[in-house]
Amino acid sequence: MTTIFSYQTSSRCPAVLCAIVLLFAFTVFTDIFAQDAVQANKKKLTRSEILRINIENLRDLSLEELTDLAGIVGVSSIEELFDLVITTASKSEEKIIDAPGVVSVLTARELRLFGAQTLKDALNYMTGAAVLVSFSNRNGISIRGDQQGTLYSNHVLIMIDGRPVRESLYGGAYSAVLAAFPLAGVERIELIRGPGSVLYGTGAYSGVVNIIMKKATKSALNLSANGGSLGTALAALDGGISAGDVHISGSAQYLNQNDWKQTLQTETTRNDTTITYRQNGIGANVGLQYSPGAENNLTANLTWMRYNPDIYGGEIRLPLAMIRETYLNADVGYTRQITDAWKTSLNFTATLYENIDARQQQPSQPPLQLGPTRQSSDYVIELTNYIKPWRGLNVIVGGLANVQNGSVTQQRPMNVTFASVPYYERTWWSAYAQADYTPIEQLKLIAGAQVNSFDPGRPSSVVPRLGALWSITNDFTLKLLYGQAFRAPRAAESDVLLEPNTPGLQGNRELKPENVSTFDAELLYKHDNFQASLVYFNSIQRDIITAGLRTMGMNPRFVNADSYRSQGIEFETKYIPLEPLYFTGSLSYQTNIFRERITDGSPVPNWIARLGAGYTNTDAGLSVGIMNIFYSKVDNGVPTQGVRFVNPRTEAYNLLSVNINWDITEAFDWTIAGAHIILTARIENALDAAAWQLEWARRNINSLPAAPGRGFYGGLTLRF
Amino acid sequence: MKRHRSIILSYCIFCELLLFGVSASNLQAQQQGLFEALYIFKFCGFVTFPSERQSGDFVIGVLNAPAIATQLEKAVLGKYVGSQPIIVRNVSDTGDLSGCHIVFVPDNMSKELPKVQELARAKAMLIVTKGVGMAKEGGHINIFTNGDKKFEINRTAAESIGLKLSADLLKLAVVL
Repeated sequence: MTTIFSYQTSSRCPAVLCAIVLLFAFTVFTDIFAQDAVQANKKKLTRSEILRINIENLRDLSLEELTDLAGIVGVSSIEELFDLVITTASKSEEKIIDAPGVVSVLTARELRLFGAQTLKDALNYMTGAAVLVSFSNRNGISIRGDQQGTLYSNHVLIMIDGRPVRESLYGGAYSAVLAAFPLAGVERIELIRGPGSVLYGTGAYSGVVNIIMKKATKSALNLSANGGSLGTALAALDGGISAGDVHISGSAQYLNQNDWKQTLQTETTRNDTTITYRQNGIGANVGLQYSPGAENNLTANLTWMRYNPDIYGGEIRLPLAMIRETYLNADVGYTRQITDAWKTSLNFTATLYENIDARQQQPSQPPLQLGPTRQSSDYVIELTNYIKPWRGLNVIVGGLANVQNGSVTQQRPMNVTFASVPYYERTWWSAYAQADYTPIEQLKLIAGAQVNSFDPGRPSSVVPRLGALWSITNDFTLKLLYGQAFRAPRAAESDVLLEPNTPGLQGNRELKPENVSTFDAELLYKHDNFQASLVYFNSIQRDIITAGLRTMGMNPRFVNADSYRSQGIEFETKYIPLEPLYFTGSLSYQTNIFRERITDGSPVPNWIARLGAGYTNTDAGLSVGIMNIFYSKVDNGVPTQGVRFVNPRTEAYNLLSVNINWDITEAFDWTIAGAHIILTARIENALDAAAWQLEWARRNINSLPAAPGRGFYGGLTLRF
Repeated sequence: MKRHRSIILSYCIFCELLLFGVSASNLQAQQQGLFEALYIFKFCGFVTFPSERQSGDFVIGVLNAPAIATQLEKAVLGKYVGSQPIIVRNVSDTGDLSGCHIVFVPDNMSKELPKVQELARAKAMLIVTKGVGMAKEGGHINIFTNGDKKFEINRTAAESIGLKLSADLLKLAVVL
């Protein structure tokens, strides 16, 4: 002790001594102040002041006063990140360890910490997901490397609060959703890796993404504006109003990026060309909840997204083409607790989709050959019953009708031929049931099935699931899951009509649904501030819809012919060694065989690793998040005849981002109109990595850029 | 040299932030279970037990949650429920909960809830829990970590074993 003191008082370190004295004085002062202030004005105390108060000074407060203080202290990151409740695997609330599915969750806290700007960014942080680019889709999502036989992301189902965002024309044209979804209003994102068709029907094939929106529990408003490299401007708002039994929440986002300059060759150029690759997206969500009593709950949710991206090509084969993609998803639901053992819910969900050529006619140029207009309307009415006949048994029984219509038509008469989809109208029917039973407290058994009818004249298809969850100890849980899923033919496969002399694939109304069987084994470990999961999966896909053979000079048709087998391991962990520090990481490996002969035929890398670290200092209002995403080299085994190697070859790359949020109200007690002021700074692709992905969809050229170079962004958030 | 200096400076700033964070974390660690303990202590005044349980010590049992038990011991020091002195008992076996007036069951012990319910039925006992869905599974008061309301109350379950919950408590909670 003497040695330490003499060292501290030595003339070499007067600054250290001063700092210690000041810190000591500060600590004593804040403790005294906090304990006095608790009596004077409890609601104005900050989180750290409350945490400094001794329990003896708090115990004489009323219960109501204590709940107010608890609201200021908030939830610790351990509670928020580790005591998560999810709803996707069983359509009802449960903990991850009890869920019959392989689940990853990204919370609002993690979204803020790592600074995701779009849903595509957010999904890129999640285990098992990969984001893709193609000549016609700027944003795609693949789960577990599955991206075969389809140009769109139609092996993934995206949902908002458990309701499907599903268009029947392409079954997975999610480019607009991934870019324009209002992320500020998201409470958490649940990602189920593996089949989900037993509860969610077509497209819940390799994975299900469920976006859970924030629910207003009090009146609040957040406004933010950001800008920086690539001509980026991003504005977002979210908030809510809560009055009695009515809770209304809303969020919106506007993204404009007009200066990403990229040098490359496209399908039609013969020399390197520098082009400006623009995107512009706007999205909004409004949610309403009305709960008169514990037995009744009425919800309504409306999401609208519009996205104008440049794409690298399309039918028109221009270097760039700007499209306009619009989504409207609306849901109205009513839930009633009929008895203690029986709850029922009725939902009506509509998804309207439109994709048009949005290039502007220039007066000095010849008339544009505008591309087609694609549109679809999907309406789902669904009844779900939740029954608990006796202790330990939970049953879900439901059914739905899915009414669809849509078309692909030319905007105006012109002298080019194209593949159209004449107006179609059809109704699909489904019925499903799933039960879980806990015969002993360590074991949970799951069984379920969905029956689907796509055409009254053809046999129904059935997909089953089975599973067992075994709590080996309080810390270890083993999940063994087997399930099938399907992807029904989209209208752009079954109903395509080619005009004479048009290249392409003819539609086929005899197509069967694609089918996948997946086995998962997951070992989960959770203890205090550490959790990890290790998964092995093995999938076999059959009846993949692909191009048939050309016969007698006729155009080939879509047929069920391809197969795809894949297996892999996934490791995921979250660790909070101390309250301000947070680490997350995942490692995914998948290998696959396409058409029984092409090893690793997927355009998704075999290895994807993510490592994130966060530091949060609530006293200083500071959070720093660092995230690195590694994609290994794609050595796609698909033959490369006809592919022009005009762009950089695909190599492994790391995308490192650094995100800083600084709440200067917490640090200096400055406010604007009573609002918290939060400054943000962000570096994207800090290593300035060249990120090129395989052009896998048409294979005329070898690669396309997946991400821009290093970029710097900054902004301001006001939290009222 | 300049580059080295900036690296050293950056490192120092990072270490400083880390140390500041560690001190904040110690604060948080010291206060772990603070509000749960205070809530449990406060619940004593909002519950009326059958007359045969209104004598002797008022025992609060905590099932395998030492941090909360430690805070609770500080909260109840020298306090009474009526004429009953409050004592706290942290136990790891449900068998040791017999005779408690209030039992706290944390999330990681939720599988023990059926056994605790049996004990509660035998001798009126308030079950306080903290975990998703634990009020629906038989807990009487479940503590939330999120939202404006901090508790959910299974009033029917509590009243069925002879406990009376005050209206002042019910208005602060989501009543199932």
